[in-house]
Amino acid sequence: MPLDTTVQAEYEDGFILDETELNDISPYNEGHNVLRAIIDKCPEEEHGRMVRFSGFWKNERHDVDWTSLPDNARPIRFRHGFITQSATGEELARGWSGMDFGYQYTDGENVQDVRELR
Amino acid sequence: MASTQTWVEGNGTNAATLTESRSEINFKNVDDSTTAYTSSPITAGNNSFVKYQAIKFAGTWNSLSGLTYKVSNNAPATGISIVGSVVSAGATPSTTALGDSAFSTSGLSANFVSSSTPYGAGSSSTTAGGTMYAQAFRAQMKTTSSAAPGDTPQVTFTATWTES
Repeated sequence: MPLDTTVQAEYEDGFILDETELNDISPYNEGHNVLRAIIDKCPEEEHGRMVRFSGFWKNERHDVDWTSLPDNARPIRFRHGFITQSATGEELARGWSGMDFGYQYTDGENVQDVRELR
Repeated sequence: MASTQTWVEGNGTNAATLTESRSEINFKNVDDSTTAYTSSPITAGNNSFVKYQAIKFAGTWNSLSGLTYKVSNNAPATGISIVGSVVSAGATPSTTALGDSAFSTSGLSANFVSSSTPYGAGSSSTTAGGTMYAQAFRAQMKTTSSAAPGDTPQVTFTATWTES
């Protein structure tokens, strides 16, 4: 199962771009992450339009059926991080407390569906 | 991979000497990041040297926003308080009492400054990618003569942020 807060995109020819597999390093644009590649539609020239956008949280996959969305739809994934240290000891914890996941587009007005996964 | 983060401490003149990979923020009676707090304890009625700390981000990320700093308890024991604020410039740490309010337990907002320093005005979000310092905070432990000797109860500092 992909790591919590990571995303995955599937394209028309079945190709899957997986953030966990790629250690979040985009194979398309150097120095950027996988979400950037998805937002910029980098795989679409070779693999066709994105058909599924998924986010992972607490061992569950959350899907957006991208075939029902217009061309100007934009993937959304905001992960919420934390890092804690002690005033009387060592670093205590770091990780993700949740993520907001979904899509947004404009059609005369702003349309968005963002799930707050915690 | 996403972003990676490390706590950074500023010491010396204008708190400009930055030490990365800090794992504690022990308040003590010396301005450095190496002396054990047990070797330079704060005596009752005095203040600690001011601590300057910040988060340094690296790795792959698309955007960073919404950074906050908070403390788990700003009055951890009788006669002991923790004060502090987010700063845009460092000052040479001393034991002179800060005029800051009690350190927030709910979150002080901080900006993202640059790839080289945590001191500056910065902006509330960034899409720069790569190395990025968040603004530093300063903090000080103040004590009164009623503070009990020995270790204080555990207090934690937490940074939170949002990234895409």
